[in-house]
Amino acid sequence: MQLTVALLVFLGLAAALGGALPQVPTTPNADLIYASYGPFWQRTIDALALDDVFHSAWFSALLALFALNLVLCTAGRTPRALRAMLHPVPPGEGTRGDSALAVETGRAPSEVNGATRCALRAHRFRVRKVGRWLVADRRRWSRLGADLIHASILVILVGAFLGVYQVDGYFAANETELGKTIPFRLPSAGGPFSVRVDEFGAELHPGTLSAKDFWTRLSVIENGVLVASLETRINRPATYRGISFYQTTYSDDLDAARVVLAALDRSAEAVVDSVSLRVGQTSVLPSAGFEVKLVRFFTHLHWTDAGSVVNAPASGAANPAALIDVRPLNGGPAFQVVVFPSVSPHDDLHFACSLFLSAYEVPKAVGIRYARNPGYPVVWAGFVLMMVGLVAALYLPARRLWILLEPRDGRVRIELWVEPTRGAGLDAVWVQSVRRTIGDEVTGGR
Amino acid sequence: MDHIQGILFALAAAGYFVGAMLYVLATALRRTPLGTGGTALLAGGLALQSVALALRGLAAGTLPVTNTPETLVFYGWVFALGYIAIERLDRADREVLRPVGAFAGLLACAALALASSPLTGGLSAPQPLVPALRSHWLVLHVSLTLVGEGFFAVAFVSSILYLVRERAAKRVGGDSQTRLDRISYRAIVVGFPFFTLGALFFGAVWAKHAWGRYWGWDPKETFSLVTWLVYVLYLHLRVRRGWRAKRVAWVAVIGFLLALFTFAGVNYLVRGLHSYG
Repeated sequence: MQLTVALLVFLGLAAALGGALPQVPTTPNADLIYASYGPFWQRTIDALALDDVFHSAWFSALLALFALNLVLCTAGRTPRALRAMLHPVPPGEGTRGDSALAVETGRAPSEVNGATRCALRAHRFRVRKVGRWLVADRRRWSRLGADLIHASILVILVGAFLGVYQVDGYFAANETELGKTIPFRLPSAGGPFSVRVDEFGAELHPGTLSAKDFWTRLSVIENGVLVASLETRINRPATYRGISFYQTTYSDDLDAARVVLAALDRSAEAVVDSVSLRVGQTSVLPSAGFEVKLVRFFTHLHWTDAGSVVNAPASGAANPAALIDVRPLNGGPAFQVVVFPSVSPHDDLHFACSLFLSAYEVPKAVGIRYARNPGYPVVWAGFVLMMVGLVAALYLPARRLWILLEPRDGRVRIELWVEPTRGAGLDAVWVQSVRRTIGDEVTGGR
Repeated sequence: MDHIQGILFALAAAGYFVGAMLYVLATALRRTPLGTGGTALLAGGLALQSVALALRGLAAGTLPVTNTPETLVFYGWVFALGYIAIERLDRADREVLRPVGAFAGLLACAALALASSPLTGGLSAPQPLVPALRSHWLVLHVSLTLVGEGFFAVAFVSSILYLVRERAAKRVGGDSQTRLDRISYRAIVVGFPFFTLGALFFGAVWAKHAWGRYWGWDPKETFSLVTWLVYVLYLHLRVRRGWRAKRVAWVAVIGFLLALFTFAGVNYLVRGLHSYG
């Protein structure tokens, strides 16, 4: 038990650390963030694997220890719970029932026995004779509630472990790539097949420009033959051969952006040159005297506090801009500049020409994640088991009463002894109710 | 419709506030009728807010928990619901529950007020749902999680009252202190399965449908698990180690503070898939 408490505490602290600190698998530029902490902290974080807590050896060891502790607890607890459920042990010799619950009657012992059993069955108790006592049980099975919960966690951990056999991946396609085919050759998924991106789009809420849904139509092709047509939407994946395809993104494909970069002669106030560029492409504006390269395009350019530029669609209104590498053709030093659709009046270039975007085009793109995880059904089964266990343990606790029928001086005294479980005190409503029913049945006072 | 909703929410907040004040007076003056009045007002506020939520849900086409102000409104509702349910289950402890009711009423009122304030952007007319939130799992995941947290809130307030009274009286025990401890335990026992089902189970199911994986150690998922582990610890300490009173009260306080951080802090302080703003 002490180990259980310690493990719960350590697991909680470890998870909290992993949740609070930037994690490399999920946080963009996490390594840069840690680099900014300084070499000492960067080395410490790296040594302790705090930048990837959930895949670290020490976290896996903690989980393994937790699982082992659960197995040992369950192995120790469950047989005891089963024995208590199936083979109730009477109260110790000399134990008397609770006098506050005693009932006396002048009826014959056999009648009292029958009436008592009848009263208990009316409260849905199962009655048996054990030694000199009658034992009445209700919800015996819920004694296994805690064991079910423990077992469920083990089942979930097994399901999570089966995730190492998961097949997953991601592919994307933009508007210029319709018809793109992605080959699949997956272990134990049958023969190879391909998935073709046929069409995708957005559905708007009627009368608005707000997106209601994003969808993609896929075709599955085997040996050159179309075998299935799939449609995937947000929250509604499509499935083929156990592999599910999830509509994860629909956004601007900034890497496929194309701009027309123009050079404006400030004195003549006329455009002297222009060139069309894709991201990563280099070209020349001879009249302006520049070699230019489109480094990056932004739909919502945003300056960070650190002075760098990022694309932040959530930041507010659109702010299209392009990051351009410029190399003067006359041999001057190269520099980088952010170019907007209009010439900035604060342009501080010491050149005759200013650059601006006379046109730009950003194709839309979809991102599709695919996955097949053999652990899913095991994890779901674990959760169902956990909920059954929780309901049993917390909402439907077992009830057990021991009843002693003692003939004494021509009368029969009925004593009740309540076996201690949650909610089973003398003043518990159900105990008083059972006592009243027994009293009414044996005395004929209904 | 928005106008009617606004009036109903305002009346509910007023009911919670006045009910809370009646509870305070009932405790101070030891007048049972005042406490009964407080319960009636809290229940009335809950009923009015239920109608307002239903109207908003009908207008939105889903349970109104799609942004921070709406979720705060729902949070206020579960605070009141959690208290009313515990008072109903623990009728014998009604007198001890009054101070808990006062705090529950004030928390519910504060949640409604915060939802309407410029700090959260205010409760505007329902907007069309973004694609990521168009799922029936939204209703199950969010509603059951918050219902669980409503009961955790009752446990939190009971535990705080216990700790404050114990510190003020500089003694341990006493009948009302034992009852506060029992109320806290009862609230956690009721709320824990709801939280497990909503936050972990349905959260994982929805994550799998939306993102293709049931668990990705997203900060919100991680801190939900941490919150869950704290309440698992509470139950183990109480049931298996027999811990009572002050020690478990602190665990209940930490658990709810973590639940609050998971609800609000993670959204704004830690970037992840749940950072809807």
